[in-house]
Amino acid sequence: MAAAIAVGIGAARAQSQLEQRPARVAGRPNFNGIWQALNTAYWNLESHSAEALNGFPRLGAIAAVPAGRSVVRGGTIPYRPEALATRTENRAKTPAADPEAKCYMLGVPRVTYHNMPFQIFQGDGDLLMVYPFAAANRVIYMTDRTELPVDSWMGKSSGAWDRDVLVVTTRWQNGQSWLDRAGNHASSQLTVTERFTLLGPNHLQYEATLDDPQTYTRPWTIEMPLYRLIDPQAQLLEHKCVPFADGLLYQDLLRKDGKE
Amino acid sequence: MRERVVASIVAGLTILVSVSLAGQSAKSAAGWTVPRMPDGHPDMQGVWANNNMTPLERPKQFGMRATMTDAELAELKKKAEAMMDGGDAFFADELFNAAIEGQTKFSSADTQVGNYDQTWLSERIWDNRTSLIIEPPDGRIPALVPAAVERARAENVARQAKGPADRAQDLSLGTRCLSYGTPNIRAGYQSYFDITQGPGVVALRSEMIHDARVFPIDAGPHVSKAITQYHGDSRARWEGDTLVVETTNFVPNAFRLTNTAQLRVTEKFRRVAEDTVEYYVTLDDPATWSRAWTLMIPLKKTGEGMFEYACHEGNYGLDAILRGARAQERGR
Amino acid sequence: MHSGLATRLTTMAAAGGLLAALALPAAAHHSFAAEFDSTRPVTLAGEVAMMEWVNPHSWLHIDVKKPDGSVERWKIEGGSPSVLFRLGWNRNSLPIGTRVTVVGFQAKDGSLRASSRELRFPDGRQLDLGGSGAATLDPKK
Repeated sequence: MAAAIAVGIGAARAQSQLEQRPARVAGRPNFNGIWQALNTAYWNLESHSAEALNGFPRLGAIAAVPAGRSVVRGGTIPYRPEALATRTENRAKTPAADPEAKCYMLGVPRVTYHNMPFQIFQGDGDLLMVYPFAAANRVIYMTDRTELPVDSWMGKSSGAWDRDVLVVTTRWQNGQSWLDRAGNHASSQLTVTERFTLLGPNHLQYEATLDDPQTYTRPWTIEMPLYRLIDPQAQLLEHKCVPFADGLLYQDLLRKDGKE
Repeated sequence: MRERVVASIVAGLTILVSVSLAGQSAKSAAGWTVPRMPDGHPDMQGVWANNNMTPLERPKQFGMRATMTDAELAELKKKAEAMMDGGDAFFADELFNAAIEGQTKFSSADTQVGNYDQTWLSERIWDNRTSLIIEPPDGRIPALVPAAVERARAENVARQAKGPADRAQDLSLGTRCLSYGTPNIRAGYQSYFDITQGPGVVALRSEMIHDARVFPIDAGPHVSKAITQYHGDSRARWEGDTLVVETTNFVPNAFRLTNTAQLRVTEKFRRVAEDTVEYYVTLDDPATWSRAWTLMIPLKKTGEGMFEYACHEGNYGLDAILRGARAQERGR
Repeated sequence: MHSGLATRLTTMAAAGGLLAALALPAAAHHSFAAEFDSTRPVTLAGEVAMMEWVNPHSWLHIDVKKPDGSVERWKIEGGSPSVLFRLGWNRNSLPIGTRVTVVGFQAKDGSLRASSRELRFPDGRQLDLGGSGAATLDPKK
């Protein structure tokens, strides 16, 4: 009985938070909140079966990739032949070669569909998106169109409104991130064009078009819904993963006879 | 390029503005009112810099005086300017303290071959405050409690038993590119912050290691003590036009001795002028200091943007320190 | 850290001045002495191969031709990119192939890494790359 009441109260609180939530902010659809993708794109953007992660027997069934359908419109990524060969090489060296394993910032669009929630801040100016993994974040610059002096891990994101759709163009990433844990990749020539469309207070449709003539034969698009966390107690929690990567990165450089 | 470097230093010297602050609140220009967000709260958005020259702790000769006279300030600036000869870089309180002590040439703390040079510094701003610390009234960090002194001693003993770089975990959080500290109060070197405000939430980003701290407003109790974070867990509220942020749940010993799990940081942000946000920080850890203490930093609006400060991704330095230590052990 | 600075930090901590110590750059930027060897000065004449804009230090890669004709790839430590950007540097500042002379100190482990504050170009111009360690030349030259 107490449990039922507790559930009732929680649902009521969530409902009242929803009612207080403005539909628009400064004249624009309200994207504020904590959002998360619910798919396996972070493992592999293309369709994949459930399978074991090789090399981790002691993790048993925990070290396994869940099955998932492609989030790529058209199914597969249109690689140039040499870029496809690079993906094959990446797969041979995974997961140690995956920048995610080193706790490097994931880049755009990988940050969006990573398996952790992220938060959008929207007032009357530039937007901010904050991602717990490796403490990444990016400003969506609504008026500043200056170039980056050099390429960076997250590039620079310029935003504009196409009626009620937030369109974000990201350039000048350094090409060193991957797109997922399956070795999918892009070069520093990549331009990502994202479209965020609210479907209601708790859902948005996310699309990202990847244009990189050095890597792909044509631009291609991924699409997926993003779900807003409605628990009123939802908040981002840190994932500063540098210490988790120490063993991987500095394995051979640790003092051998040192005490732990 | 050399010409531009010299020009930067000269520009830096001419931008040593002295601002008289009456007590702790700056006089705003007549007729200025704080701009407001759609929800009515003050708008503090933008990029703010901490390039203030005031030292954290008050030099002893000022006693209980929170401000110095205009004459004293002018004298100090003259001494400091004489040392800004393009030589060794000074960080935080170093130049101020050197000038106070009557030094005529600034030398960096690195006794082997010196440190960075002054090209690498932002222009610093002088005012007539004698310390950032406003509580306690002597402007100095309160004494450590005995338990903290003991922790320091034990920590030192433990460190002597190890080599300088046995493991990555032995090195500082900054060297590992994990964190440069919360709150981040170092002035004058990439000390940029930006503030973003949405309904019910504020985010404070610092340039160094691209950290974003999220301050949910009126969001109920902190997370369980079972969750600790390098930047703690924050809860905010508005008190009139001041944003108050309480942060707890810090990782214990994250900064070695500065905190236990009991550390509570209270920050206050108040926009007092078009170009100034007063930033108050109170640190309270009964297991470390004999009393809580508070400092205030005037953050100044800058027209600049912030750059990505990816740290861990290119941290060859850490790799090198470990390699160097292993090489020394092998007797090279 | 076992340098003199570490001892100073501990003493300051005991005196309650730890946060002031943390305000010093050593907490954020390891000092020169942790990585480089002041007893190993080097002068390297070579060509710019690439510039790595990373923190906490940027790294300039140069190809140095040795007397026997072989080429060594050296990495030279510079200052933080954001500071360089604010001084006007960008991706076009040091084109590949630019001839340059670097004066600095080699890494403790003997690898092809050095810290330098002086880049010299054939036309006599000098550039401060901002690496940790004192300028080895008279800055007024």
